[in-house]
Amino acid sequence: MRALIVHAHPDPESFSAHLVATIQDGLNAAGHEHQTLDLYASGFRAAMSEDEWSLHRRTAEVKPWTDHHNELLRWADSIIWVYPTWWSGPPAILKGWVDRVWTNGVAYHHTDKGLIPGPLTHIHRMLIVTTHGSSRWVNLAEGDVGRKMIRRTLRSLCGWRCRTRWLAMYDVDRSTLEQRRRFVERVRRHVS
Amino acid sequence: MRPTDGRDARPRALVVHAHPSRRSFNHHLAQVTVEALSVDHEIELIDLYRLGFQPEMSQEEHQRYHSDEPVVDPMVASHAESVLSAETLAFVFPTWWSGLPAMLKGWLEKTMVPGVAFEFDDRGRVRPALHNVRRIIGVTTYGSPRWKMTLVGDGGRRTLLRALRLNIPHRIDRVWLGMYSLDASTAEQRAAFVRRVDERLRTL
Repeated sequence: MRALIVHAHPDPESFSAHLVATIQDGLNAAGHEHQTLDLYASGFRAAMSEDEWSLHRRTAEVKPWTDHHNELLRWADSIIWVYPTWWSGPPAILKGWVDRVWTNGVAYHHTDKGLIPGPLTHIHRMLIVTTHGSSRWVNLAEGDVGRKMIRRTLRSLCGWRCRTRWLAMYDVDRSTLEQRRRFVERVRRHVS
Repeated sequence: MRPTDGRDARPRALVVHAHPSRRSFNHHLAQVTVEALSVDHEIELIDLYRLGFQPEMSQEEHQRYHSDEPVVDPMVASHAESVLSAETLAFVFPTWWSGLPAMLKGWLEKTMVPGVAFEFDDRGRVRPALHNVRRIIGVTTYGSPRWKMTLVGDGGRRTLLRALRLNIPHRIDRVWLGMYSLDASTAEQRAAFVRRVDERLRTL
């Protein structure tokens, strides 16, 4: 497995960052290759600029800001998303990564008939590890936006047989150390 | 009585707009929205791109989220005040990847913080606090057709009409105006949508 870990949390001491370290350890132990894209640490800018907007439908060659990300996506066969769910979806910096990087030639081909899959069909596995401040019920009432975006919209650009696995910890703000430990172990088991 | 007195008493509508290009159809829709709402409302427009808003929640903001003063950025503080005096919250934005653009998502994350949109009770549960809001309006453009948005779940609409709406502790009026299949649209279809937005928002 060649896993690209995409991480979005502003605090390097966060539980989310701890989950990333757990995943990296687990992948190492199992002998899998991996690279980590830490959006906050790399100073990623979330908002698509006017120039980027006017170019995002053109092919990959004319979008230098996607180069490095494009290489990572070409290299990987699996994407591991690690983020806290805020307002029912991924943090702005991660939504911005999709807005700015998942462009024509990088994530899809833009044709007269709309967007068709192509550049990402080698991705055959996605793992999502996310924490929610509130309960599963509240998240369902809010519309489960992050899950739908990744599992339906983004997954449709990956390989036909792309499997997604969703690991969510709810009520994290009110959780006990023991509950968090159990979740960490569950995540570790999934990547080992 | 001075004429301004009557105007000041009108209900307030806050229009939040997020599109990178002022030459876009979406930006035109923001102008139409402001014009139409100003018939019956006192308007404030927050054009996030023009303001150079920073949508990424910083480490400091995250650390202070659960404190008594979660707002760090003075621009966010003024936006939060506007939210707290608005009767109508209107959002004009393009739907990207079935959701809000990062710019608008980040604005929600940074502005709708504890003490503004909600409060935590003794047991740490979220309690709604947007007591003044009576209406949420969404004006958006979709590259995809409507059936596809239904299939994938229309995350932008859900974020505003469900997740944000849960922070308002009473019945509200919800208005959603979406232009589908924008990429394949004709000038007439866009003009018809502009008329629809204008007429709907003049007669709330």
